[in-house]
Amino acid sequence: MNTTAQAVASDDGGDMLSPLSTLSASDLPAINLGESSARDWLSMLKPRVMTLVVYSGLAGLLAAPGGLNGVLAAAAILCIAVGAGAAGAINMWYDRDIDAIMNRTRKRPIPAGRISPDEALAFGVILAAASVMVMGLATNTFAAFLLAGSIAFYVLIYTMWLKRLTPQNIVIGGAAGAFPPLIGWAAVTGSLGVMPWLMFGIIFLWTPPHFWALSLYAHSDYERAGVPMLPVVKGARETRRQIVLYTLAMVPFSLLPWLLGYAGLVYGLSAIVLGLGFFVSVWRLAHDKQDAFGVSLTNDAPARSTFRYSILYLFALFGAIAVDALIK
Amino acid sequence: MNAVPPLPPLTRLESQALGRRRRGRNIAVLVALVAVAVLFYAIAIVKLTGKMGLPH
Repeated sequence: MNTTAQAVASDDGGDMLSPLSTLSASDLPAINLGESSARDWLSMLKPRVMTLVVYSGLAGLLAAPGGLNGVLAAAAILCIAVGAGAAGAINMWYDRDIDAIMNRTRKRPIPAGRISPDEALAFGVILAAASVMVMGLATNTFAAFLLAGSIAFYVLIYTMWLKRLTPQNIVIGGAAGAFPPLIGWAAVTGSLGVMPWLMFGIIFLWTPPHFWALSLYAHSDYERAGVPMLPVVKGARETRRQIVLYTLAMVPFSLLPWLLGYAGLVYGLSAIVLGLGFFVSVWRLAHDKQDAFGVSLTNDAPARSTFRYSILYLFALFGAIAVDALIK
Repeated sequence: MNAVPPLPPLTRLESQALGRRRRGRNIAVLVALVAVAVLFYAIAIVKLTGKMGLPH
């Protein structure tokens, strides 16, 4: 990626000028030298998405019967995080054409020209392979297989196949985000039981209301890029209806770990209270003031509120699973 | 044959920014490599200790 000018600067030794530096850190991103920074590479891993992945993977690991050495558990969580990050990097490589069109993503390192597509792909593939390998070495082959499956699912099924094909993209693609509790559980036990599949189901049913609430007020980008998000294809009114339907399925489903005896009272009460909160939030969203075409007249305030609440909901719910497991 | 005109040299400000960016990236690579070495060492120790604990 070096241009002649940059090679000149490199030969001169840019560091020699640093004692005279008057730059602050905030000046750096404003200067596009076509050269990546450490922060650019970190952003390729989608750290915000990684947070939820790590959290749900940890909940699966803690809820599993038996125990895992602390070092191996930390290695397993690290592998889940890096594997998810690798999938994110490959996603950015594949989606670089639409990322360049959308306001939200056009400053990402690839469309901004700071990281080349080839570098991004190599980065993602190497990290994906390394995370699967280390998972296998630190825990067991089955957990490594699940991690590889989740990366492949996100890249091949969601990114390359469904995302640009159908408005139901995130329904099936959302399963990729539901893998971490399975992997965490498998890292400890080497197998899967009912509880990890219930955790998988909760995230699977949670993804559509979470993501569609966001897409209700952020769909213009997707529209411009030709990504068939539900509000773009079916309109806001149908999107609200689908959010309601998925919430009606998700909240009762979230009670199953407690009702079937896989989680205790802390989880059960949390699921009831948090679920009621979700119902209230979605009820407000469904009754948002709208015009004849279903477009919000309140700047989608209830959708914004539902999106924020959905994040809190999942964090609190999986936190309750972890707490329940720890006090057992 | 058309010669490609050379790009203008970087300004002092750009050189400084470039140097910092490269230094930051090099440090990040160093940290990542050390972390990987420590991780492999720790996993190996735990696995070996576990194996030693098994009955013969």
